[in-house]
Amino acid sequence: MRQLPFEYAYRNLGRSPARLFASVLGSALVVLLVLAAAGFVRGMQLTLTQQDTLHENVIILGAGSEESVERSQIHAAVEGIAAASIAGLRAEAGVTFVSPEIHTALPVWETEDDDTVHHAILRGVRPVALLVHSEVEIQVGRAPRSGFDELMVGALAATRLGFPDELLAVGKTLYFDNRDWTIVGRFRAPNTVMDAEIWVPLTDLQIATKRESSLSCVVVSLDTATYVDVDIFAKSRLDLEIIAISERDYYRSIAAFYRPIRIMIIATAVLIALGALLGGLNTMYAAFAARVREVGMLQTLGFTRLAIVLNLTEESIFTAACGTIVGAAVGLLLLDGLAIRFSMGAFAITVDAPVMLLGLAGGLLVGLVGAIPPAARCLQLPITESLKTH
Amino acid sequence: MRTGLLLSTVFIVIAVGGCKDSPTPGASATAPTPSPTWLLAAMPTGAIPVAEAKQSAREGDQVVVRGRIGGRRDPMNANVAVFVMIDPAIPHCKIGVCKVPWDYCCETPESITTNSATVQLVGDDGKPMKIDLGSHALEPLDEIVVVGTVGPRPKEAVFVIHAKGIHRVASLSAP
Repeated sequence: MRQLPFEYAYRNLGRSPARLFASVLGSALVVLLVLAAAGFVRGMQLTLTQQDTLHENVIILGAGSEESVERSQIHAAVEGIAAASIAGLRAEAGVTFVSPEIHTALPVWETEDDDTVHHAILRGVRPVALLVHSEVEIQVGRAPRSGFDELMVGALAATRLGFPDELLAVGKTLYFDNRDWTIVGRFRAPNTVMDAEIWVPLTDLQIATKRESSLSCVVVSLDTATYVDVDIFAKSRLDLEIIAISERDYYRSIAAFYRPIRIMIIATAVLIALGALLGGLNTMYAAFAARVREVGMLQTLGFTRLAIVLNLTEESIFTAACGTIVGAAVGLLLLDGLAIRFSMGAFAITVDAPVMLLGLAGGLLVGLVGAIPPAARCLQLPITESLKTH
Repeated sequence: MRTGLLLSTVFIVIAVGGCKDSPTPGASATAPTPSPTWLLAAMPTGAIPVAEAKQSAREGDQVVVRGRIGGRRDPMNANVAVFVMIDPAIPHCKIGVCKVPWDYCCETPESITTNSATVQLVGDDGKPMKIDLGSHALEPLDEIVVVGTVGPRPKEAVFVIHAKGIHRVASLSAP
């Protein structure tokens, strides 16, 4: 089969700059849309699904509070009893990886005179929390000291609060519990809910929330012990009214709660992408319909219908590929890392390799699917009629 | 002649062997798995409810306690024979009221604690057996009788029974 040269395809693109621009823009928009939807779902998924971390953690929380650690209330003594009762917990340099914590949502203000209430997610911790939660990395400053009204903020805490990032710089203050708290550190814990949290010394938060003798949970890191050992401990100490759940299972259950939202986003993105695809098809129909006579002429010159379809498809995919590159570049620059606020805190839109692959595939699909039907329609006409078309 | 004899012998051996292996009509293809010794077929005598046992039992006492598997959302551990049971007099919650009826969410935490016991089915080494009780048809809300020894009681609310035998009285989920 004699084929049309590729040069013929791309030279045709210059014949109508406006149409070329519309096609490139259409493809770029489809790619952007796919990247936004997939990046949103991916970011939320990564945040709520614990990735493989350095340690395997188990959360000990109040019986009946399996769905929300914020609702949980356990006795402060659980920390010591768990550390003494469960053999095989991780320990280094004499420190057992047992982190007593308070998780709470509190209203905070920028200053005392600020009228706008901002809802923050606070975690009261001891220094051992930095060992148990190995994903947390202090980027600027230091960990807060107990008794000095100090705190440190996560990388996405500003998004959660609806503040510009500069307001949460080290040295700035936040107002809650009738006093100013100084930001002494900033940390990051990518793809975890902790990234949007504010960490406060445990004792200070216990006083601020008026729960001096209780905790939300105790998080333990396993060494030779297994989840079963912690579960046996929880089931045997009925007096403490506690249950044990692996950290991964806890966040998996929360991710399951948000599943309908993810499905809705995917469905919306598919519908919009379908609209964009149909728009692209329309452009291609218009582009090819004006070239019926040219197609007839090519057939007269001896090119087969398949050769002509291939050439038109090459042209379409080439245009779509240009749009795809533009869309992917814009998506990577504007969307990747964009923080989104949600009830559990905040997460960042993630344009990683799988998401980018999906975006590129979507863009190229527009070129492929957009070319074949109009090209086939052009070739339906008999050659004599095609040549007469104006 | 010799070849014919050999072939006949092989045929007879295969036929006899095949007859031995073929199941007899009406018999099961695989022998039934014997019940484990800890799963008691007969109802142990002298069983008292969890709440009563919890009030009087001391460490080392031999007890026969009647209760219902429940008191937590996940009362049983799938990897080891440890579960929580609650006094059978405590009404479990209706389906739809709680996440699961066996978490007794309509009861106060204090009531659940007062009326609950931990059962550890222990082996000869005194440690909980690494079996899934669910695979022996035990499930939440089953009414059971446990025979065993009371473990350490650092507090009144702690009541661990090191069980040697379990008898299933009734299952609420059974048709």
